[in-house]
Amino acid sequence: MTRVAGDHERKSETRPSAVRPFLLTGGRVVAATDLPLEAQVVTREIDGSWRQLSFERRDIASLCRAPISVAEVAATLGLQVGTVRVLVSELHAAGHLAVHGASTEASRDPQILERVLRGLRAIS
Amino acid sequence: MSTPVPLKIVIAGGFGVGKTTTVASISEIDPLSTEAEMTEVSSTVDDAALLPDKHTTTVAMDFGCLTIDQNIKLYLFGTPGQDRFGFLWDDIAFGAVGALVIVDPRRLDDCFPAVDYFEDMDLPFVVAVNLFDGRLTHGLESIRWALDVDPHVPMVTFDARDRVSVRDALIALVDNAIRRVQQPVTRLVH
Repeated sequence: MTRVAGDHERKSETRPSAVRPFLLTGGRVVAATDLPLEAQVVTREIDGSWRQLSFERRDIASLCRAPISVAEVAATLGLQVGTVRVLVSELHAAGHLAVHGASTEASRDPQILERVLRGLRAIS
Repeated sequence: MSTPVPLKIVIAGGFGVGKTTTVASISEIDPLSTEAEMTEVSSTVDDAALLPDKHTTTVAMDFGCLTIDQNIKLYLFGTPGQDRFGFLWDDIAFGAVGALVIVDPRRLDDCFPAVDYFEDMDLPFVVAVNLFDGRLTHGLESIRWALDVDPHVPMVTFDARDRVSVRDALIALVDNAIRRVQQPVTRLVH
């Protein structure tokens, strides 16, 4: 359920998702707060064991065969960000996913910022 | 396939100021919207939403993405328009390169929460005045005075609908972020 932008106003009328987030995560509370929105999630293809997963977990693993951000996973699968964070950290702990974040360091690195500047200047 | 380094820029400003348009103008993917459930941080209710008093609410967050080069992806996250969602702002702003605070010159007050927030966070930001009708009736310096932003904060005019114009506003921000890394600003304590 990917929605186009521009409809913030709908917030309170949004229909509840069919499955409540706490059910998706099996009622467990996993500390997923250190997963930035932009963190890149990639499925570890080593033995293809992610194919045995079910429902949202499998959807996430299937989607992340190419690196994609936590926010994109949520938007593409129509899940709340909090739910995705919990599922991703769980799948990461189980060895199905690799997660690359650490933008805090990168966003203060002058060399990386210079590359961003060059990349932006190349846009026409 | 190597995994790119993700960076992000916050696109902030008041309600209806052009944040989503800005993201859409430059994002290489159609802007996506995702939902986050959060606790309200203040009891005030804004008149656009007229929401009843409640403890949690769901807001939509719009974002887009740019491939800078093989190894760097730049995400643009728009803040929800209402300033009471400060909790989500922390989530969006943490680790960001900086923020573009979009200003509607006809409604300067709307951007005060964003300006205050990024000043408090000590995050590099640029005030980007969105010229809806192509004209600026007040000079940029009078807008700076009205907003009371520090002289080191760059101010630019731009058109949120124009890709190159948005690009230039982002360049001003990244330029500022580089200068901040090289020469950290000593903020005056009043």
